[in-house]
Amino acid sequence: MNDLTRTQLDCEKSLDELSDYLSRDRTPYDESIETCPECLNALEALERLGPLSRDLLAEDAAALPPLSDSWIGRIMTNIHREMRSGRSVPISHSDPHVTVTVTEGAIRALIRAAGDAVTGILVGRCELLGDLDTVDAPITVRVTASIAWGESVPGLADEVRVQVYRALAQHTQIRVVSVDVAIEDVHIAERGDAPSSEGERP
Amino acid sequence: MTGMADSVGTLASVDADELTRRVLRVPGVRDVYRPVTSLTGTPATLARWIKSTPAKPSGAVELNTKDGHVSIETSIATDRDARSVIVAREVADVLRGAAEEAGHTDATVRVQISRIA
Repeated sequence: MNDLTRTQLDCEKSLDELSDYLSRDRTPYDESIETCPECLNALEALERLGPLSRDLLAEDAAALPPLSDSWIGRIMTNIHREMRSGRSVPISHSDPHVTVTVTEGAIRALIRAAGDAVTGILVGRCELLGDLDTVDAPITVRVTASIAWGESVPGLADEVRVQVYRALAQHTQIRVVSVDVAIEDVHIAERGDAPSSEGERP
Repeated sequence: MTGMADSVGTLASVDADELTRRVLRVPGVRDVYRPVTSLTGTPATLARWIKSTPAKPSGAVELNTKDGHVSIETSIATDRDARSVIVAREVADVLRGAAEEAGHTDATVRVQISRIA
């Protein structure tokens, strides 16, 4: 793997470029980004991450445990890695002349979005383990996440599991045998998305 | 990149732009992109090709003919509120139907979901 493949999506855009584009409120309009599914998947993930990282800067002096820059850096790295198209996951069709697939990158983006939609959760890494090239092969989904300070780890981990199962059942034919959720970090809840206990140590 | 193709872009009755419009009319389709899965080359080569492609709808559905055999390929974004499996199958049926209308009953169709938004 060379530097290009490590730091850029398959379309040659880097997360830095996409981040800059987001910070300019997606202006001027960049057609090469706005018509690229990989870039759009990455932009969506970065948009969810952006407000949190800005809030963390504002809360830097607070006594509560901050989400470290290095952890955000790891999320950025994971977003970059996961948004590539990856494997083509088959979807069955009765006509032998037809091939229908969904990209692994689209599925990972879906999983990340489902997890991030759970209030108090920020997904770190998503993995699909198993033979994705074969219809009906058993697949295990592994998700790591950070949880907002004061939230229930078992409760939110269960909610992430439910949302990921639901999203994959709605949009793919993957036979998910388990969704393993590991909470690896704690962060301060985003403003406007805060649990009632924000600012109080549990 | 599509060097294997004898001709690109039209069936007897419809062209790639019209196919793109038909795909965009399928409920649950949010967007249509140029497919890249059938292409060969380095990421840089692919990126140059992607950057050189015209804006939609031109070519968002790729239509190739080789030795009289028609192949149609596209990449779509589906709506998160829809059921992507069903949407993608319907897109494939629309494209197969268009090929059959033009007399290409053995045309092959590839549909890839590249984004669920």
